[in-house]
Amino acid sequence: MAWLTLPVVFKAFAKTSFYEFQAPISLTSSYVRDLQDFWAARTKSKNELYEAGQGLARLNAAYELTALENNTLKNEIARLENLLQLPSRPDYQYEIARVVERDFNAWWQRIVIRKGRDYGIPVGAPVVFVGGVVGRVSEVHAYTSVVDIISNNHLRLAVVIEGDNRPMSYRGGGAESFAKPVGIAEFIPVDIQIADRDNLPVLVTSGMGGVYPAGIRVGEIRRLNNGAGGMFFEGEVQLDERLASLTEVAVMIQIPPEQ
Amino acid sequence: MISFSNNRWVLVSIGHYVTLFFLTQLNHYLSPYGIQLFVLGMLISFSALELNYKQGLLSLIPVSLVIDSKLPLPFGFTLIASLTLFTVAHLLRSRVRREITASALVTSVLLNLASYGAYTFGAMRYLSLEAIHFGPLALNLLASTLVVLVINRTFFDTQVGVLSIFGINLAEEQREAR
Repeated sequence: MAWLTLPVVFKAFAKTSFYEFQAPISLTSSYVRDLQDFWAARTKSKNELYEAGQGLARLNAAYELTALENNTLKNEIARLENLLQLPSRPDYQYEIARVVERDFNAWWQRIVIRKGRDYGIPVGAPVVFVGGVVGRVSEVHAYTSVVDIISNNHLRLAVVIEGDNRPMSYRGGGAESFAKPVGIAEFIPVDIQIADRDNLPVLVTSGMGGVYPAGIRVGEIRRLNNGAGGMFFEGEVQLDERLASLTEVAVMIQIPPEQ
Repeated sequence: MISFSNNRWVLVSIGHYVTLFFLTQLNHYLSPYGIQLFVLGMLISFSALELNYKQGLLSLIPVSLVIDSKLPLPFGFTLIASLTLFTVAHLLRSRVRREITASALVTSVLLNLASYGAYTFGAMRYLSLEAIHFGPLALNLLASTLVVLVINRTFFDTQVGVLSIFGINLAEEQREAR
């Protein structure tokens, strides 16, 4: 009972102190894991390394082409924005961070990443990976940050179906057995149908709300149910299963527009 | 000079923390399979069965606060839950024959079940009932119970062994007390 009467400031101070006290141990274990991977890679034969190098060279060539194409498209967008006098869209800086801990259970799904205040990570920053949206930074500490994965129920975002610009709402739906993160899409127009099970409607961020830029993949709608009012559908969203085994993510830090 | 006999809670607390650290590492690797192990009840069980009330309480406070600092639940949730369960277990320990391994095992499993229930209630109360699915909840509880059944004896023996290195013989103290 005495604990409940303690001032919030004391509790906040105690929380930070206990977190920062154990953080270096978690960080060290993450570096040890990296070292383990390094030594595991050292056991590979020269032939395997040569083949991996060839594969990387091919990938690099493909990425260089894509980067060139991106630059051309960016210039074209900037030209059209100037022409139409549209407000410029937010620009992001990507901060790549290794995953220190994965806390993926039946109650909540979160990860701890190896960058915090030392890299200027802000609370609320969007986090993405190669498969799309990961979640949002919920806590920032001295050298680490905590990211809530999009399967957490309190995480909501504005989404659209790829190729359709009608806005919808998404919220996390927890994790089903064997690490299958799920979500719930709301306000789906009733003309949306799932005709082909191999070609499910893909949800992407809408860009509304100002947190996530438009067009980042969220998941696929695998089932539609009647919504509460009957005017819209509610859909079960299958998220990327790799969310439970992330090793590296990118935090998107918004660059303030030039005055 | 620190008297380890009077401050044995420090050694037990470090032992609890090391156990939790290894478990966190294990959970990191198990996360792609959707399994997370939970053994808080086993730690409470050792403090309640092997230490006196004050030492047991002190051994659980720092560990509970470290756990709390990493949870999305209100800070102090684990502290209140674990101290409540510890007090109940400590009050009932006179009815348990502590020298029998099976008694410690049953106590650990029951306390683990109760603390798992407390966490589930906390998640339902503070996060959302909607995002909690029965399948992973049951799977994690089953896996955690199995792990407690397997490692409980080793955990108790290791903690007792570490205490004996610092000249604290719990078995002898219990015999003398009787």
